[in-house]
Amino acid sequence: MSGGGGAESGESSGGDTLPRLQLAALDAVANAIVFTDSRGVILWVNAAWGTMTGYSRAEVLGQNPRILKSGAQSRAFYGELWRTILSGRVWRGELVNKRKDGSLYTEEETITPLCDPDGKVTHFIAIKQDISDRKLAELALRESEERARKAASELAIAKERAESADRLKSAFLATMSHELRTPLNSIIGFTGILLQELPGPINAEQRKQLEMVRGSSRHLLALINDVLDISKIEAGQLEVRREPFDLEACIERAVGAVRPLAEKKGLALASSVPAGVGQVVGDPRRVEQVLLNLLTNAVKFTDRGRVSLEVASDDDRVRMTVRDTGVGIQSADLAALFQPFRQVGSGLARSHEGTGLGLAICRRLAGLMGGDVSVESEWGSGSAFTFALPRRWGNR
Amino acid sequence: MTRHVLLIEDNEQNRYLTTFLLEKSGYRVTSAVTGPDGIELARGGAFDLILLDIQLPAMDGYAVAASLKADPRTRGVPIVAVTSHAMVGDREKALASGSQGYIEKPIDPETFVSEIERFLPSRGVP
Repeated sequence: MSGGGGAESGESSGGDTLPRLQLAALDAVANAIVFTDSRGVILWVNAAWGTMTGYSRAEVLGQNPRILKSGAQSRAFYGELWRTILSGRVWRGELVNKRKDGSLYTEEETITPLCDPDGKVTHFIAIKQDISDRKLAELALRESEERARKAASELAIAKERAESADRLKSAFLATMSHELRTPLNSIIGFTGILLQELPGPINAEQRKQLEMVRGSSRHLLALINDVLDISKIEAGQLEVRREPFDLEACIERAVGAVRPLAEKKGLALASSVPAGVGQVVGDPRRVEQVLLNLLTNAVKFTDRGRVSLEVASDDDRVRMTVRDTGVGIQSADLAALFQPFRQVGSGLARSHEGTGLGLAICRRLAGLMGGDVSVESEWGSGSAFTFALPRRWGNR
Repeated sequence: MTRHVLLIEDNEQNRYLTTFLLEKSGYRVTSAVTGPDGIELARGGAFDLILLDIQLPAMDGYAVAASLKADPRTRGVPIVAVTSHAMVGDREKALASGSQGYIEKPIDPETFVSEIERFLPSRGVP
């Protein structure tokens, strides 16, 4: 068999058929195959070898496989390889080699030495496979695993940061609450004591001025409470209870609380609660807070006429509407009405002091209980605020 | 017999305010500025009620209440927690740590004394 022989090399007599078939088979397999002598001189390569390296068979016969060297492996690596195969043992491993066009590829290779009857190595058969694609896939997999690990750890850090920000926010709210109330406690307390004349009698002017101090400090307390309420709601720190309670009693308390103010302004105050409103599930204190806020607003912004609370109820919802005959709200202002710190109209803000937070708090509290607060108003003829509350909130 | 109240409160103005209100109503008041001082006083004296500020430096009111309730010498004295915290769960936390009552600051000077009277052990028929 000549070194340059191949499957395509002509017809032969019948006795040569088997070796020819064997060689043709070797030439047809997908793995690259190369035969060398004991010094590594190439005697034969198959077609797949040519495809893998980019060299034609004619170019490489008589050459040494070192033409494929990429420089990626050390001298020691080759030293070990040669020691193994020259001692008659099979070498298996991976190499990064260079194609004829200079591009690199990774091959998986098995070199099997052939020995003569005396045990002397005479030839090597190397069978190789280009595993560059697999290597790339493995690399991509490792990289994507690394990215996933990194993303997961970044997520954990972000989560930890968010949680510590939440804890910080709660701690800040608690501290603010304490720091603001402590001095107010003594301002409101001592003013009350002086007005009660516990330390001794006061004259009319002193009383008038102390009542102003008390009025201002109560207003300041209301402001602080509102700011803390809205902060707590927005920090997710405000919890509402879920308990069945008597809505009618709650309505009566709210109306009763606002009655002195309405009478002082000469306004009619009426409430109509249909029989059988009965119990709803929610937070009675918060429901009362919303009602009281809507009623106080109505009285505050009405100079003549009446304020009424109408209650309508069906199986699913209770709708409590506070109606007044006050100044009303211009349609352009309706949208901003429930935003924090947006008391409409600067003129109004001056004549009607308040935090500008009441309605924002009302709507959020209603929302926390599964309900809502909505408004209808006509400029000059009054407003109607409706507090809708689901009957069985929490049971769904 | 004069009722004796132990007041544990770190803020000077608020200590004066509460003391003034109680003394005007005929109570005798002993006050402490810190939790440990308050516990020390409680162990040594016979008090009818302990008014306990929750936001105390170093040892807070919850810890003070727990310590008072763990000691047989002070276990029987009712505690009313006074807090300026007013956060979610404060009331539950105060009651769980052994307080019988809970009052939020700012206190109302007109109703304060009658509020804490509810927690005084009832007197025998004179």
